[in-house]
Amino acid sequence: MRPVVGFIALQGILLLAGFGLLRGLGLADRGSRTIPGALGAALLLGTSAVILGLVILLVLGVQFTLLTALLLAIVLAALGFWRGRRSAQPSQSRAPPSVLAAIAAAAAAAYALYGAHAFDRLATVQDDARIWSLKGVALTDYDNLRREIFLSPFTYASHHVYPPFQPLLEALVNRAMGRLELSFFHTELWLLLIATVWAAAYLIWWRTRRPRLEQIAIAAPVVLITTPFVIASIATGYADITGSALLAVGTLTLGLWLEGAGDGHLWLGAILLAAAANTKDEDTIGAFLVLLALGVMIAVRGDRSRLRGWAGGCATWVILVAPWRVWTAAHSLTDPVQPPLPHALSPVFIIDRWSHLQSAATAIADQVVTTWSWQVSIFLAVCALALVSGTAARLAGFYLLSFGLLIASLLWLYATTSTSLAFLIPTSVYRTIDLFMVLTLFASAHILTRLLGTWDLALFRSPRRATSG
Amino acid sequence: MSFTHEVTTIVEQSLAIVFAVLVIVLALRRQPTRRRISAVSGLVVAAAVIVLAAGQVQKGIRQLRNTRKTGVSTETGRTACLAELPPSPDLFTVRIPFSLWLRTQMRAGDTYTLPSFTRPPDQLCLYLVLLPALPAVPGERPTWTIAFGSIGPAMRARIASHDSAVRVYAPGFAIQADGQR
Repeated sequence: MRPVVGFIALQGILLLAGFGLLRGLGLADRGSRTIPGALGAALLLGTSAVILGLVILLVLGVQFTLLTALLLAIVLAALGFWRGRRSAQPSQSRAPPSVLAAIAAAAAAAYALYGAHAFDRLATVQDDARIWSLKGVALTDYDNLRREIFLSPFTYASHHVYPPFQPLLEALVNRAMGRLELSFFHTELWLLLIATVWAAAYLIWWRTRRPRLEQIAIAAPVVLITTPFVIASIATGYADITGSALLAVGTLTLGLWLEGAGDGHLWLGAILLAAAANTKDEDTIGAFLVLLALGVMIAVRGDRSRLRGWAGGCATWVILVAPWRVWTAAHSLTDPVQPPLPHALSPVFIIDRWSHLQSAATAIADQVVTTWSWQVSIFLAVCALALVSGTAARLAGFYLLSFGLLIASLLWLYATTSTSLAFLIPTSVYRTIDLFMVLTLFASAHILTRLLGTWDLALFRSPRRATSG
Repeated sequence: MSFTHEVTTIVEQSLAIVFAVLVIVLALRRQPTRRRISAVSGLVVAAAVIVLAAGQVQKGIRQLRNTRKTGVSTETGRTACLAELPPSPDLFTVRIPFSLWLRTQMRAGDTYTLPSFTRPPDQLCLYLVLLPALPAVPGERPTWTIAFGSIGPAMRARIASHDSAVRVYAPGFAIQADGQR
């Protein structure tokens, strides 16, 4: 019983830190009414901020203990609540939820709980055992980056340079539960995925009075994330879906900022993208490219004040991402999968590997159609319709640019790596495409809500009836 | 499957959605203004997405049910990787039991070397199973030397001399205390 209590208590602490930070960023209103809606965003932000803080402390040589994590969470919560004590608005009084909404919420909660139950007894196998949980258990048993695991040539195959977000989260869960509970960590990953879905819906709906039809239309594409493939991915315990979900919500948050939301969205986006960048190497490049795409969209518009904000967001992201990269550079750590830099950036080098590029492109396209199929078509159609109609054209441009850059980065990684593609493609493409595919769901939901916002029956009434009415 | 075929599939599906929107706007006998296209596209895509999502949730529940069925105990879950490689004849009779026995011999902070290691399991999996004991880094004097698959000449000599620091688990599998604990 005690492990489960510890697990729930940890979620409570992370939620507290997340709520504080949301309040500090001006993304949650005062009062209890805002709490249910903001639960997902709070868990996501709390987890991201606490683990990012722990990464920095660990690299600086501070011992990783449960007490350190608790103190960090409390400090973050206190700072957030203190900063938001004046700026946060009281929650707007709203009509009580309808019976339909209550049933939908209960069904969603039951689905989430059933998933948590389904994932709590899974075996630790494949790369999860050899990369993520190996480091996670080492961080559970020891309070520092033990050289026998994180630096030894004997553990080279566990990819020393891979960022420690997921192993640290796994260790934190184990410590909170009071013992090693590797199988239970899949439940944590599931909750994090549910939190991303919840957070996306909250961020799109927040402080808007959307009609119910529109809300359902937003929720549905986000629900598509729970495809059987994603569920299978969580069952493996790999970090791909964790990083991709963080990257996708971070990008969505920046999309909201691009269309005029407050600066709190920008800082939230920077934190989530930093968390993604601390999860997997592909996400580090992906987060950088998303920030680049945002900069391009702002520069095209020539909005100088937003450009300054963007620079601040980028600086925050760099500060949060740099510690781990500095640590790996300081220990001269390399990885067999990483492209050989700087040669890999040369066009001649890439052209020389044209056959690799073709193989990777075919494998990626095949996986997208096989496992995600209509999701990518819906995203492209929604973007095309937004561009044609002029509604949310800039938003569609941002998401399309990010999508294109993420695909290009993945192709570049596969084309330039010195690891054999005969091994790499069948063992990784099916999950690395999450990098850009999860984004398509949140982006579709966001653009769709803008398209639905233009609905007006009067547009389709006959002129005579319209004037007489 | 070729790249062209896959991309064509995606483009065709995307165009089908765009085409459906335009057909509906025209069917309403209205000039396809930008605002009308926007409004209709929102509804059409939302409807398509809701139908798709309903199917996905159903598949998701089925997948969760199947996932639940594969559940194991905490201990079995942690050591599951030991049986992942193609098995050798002695995997279940010696190698896995020996790995689990090793865990009972070593303590937190102990280090070990595997000088004569043969698979299965693979070393990374064994490192996970043996934590909190750690694989000694090169140049470090380990607490233990583990023979996994074959016993080297030095350890064999110590076994022959009945050295109490060496414990043999099975032919080819032994552990030797080397350093301070």
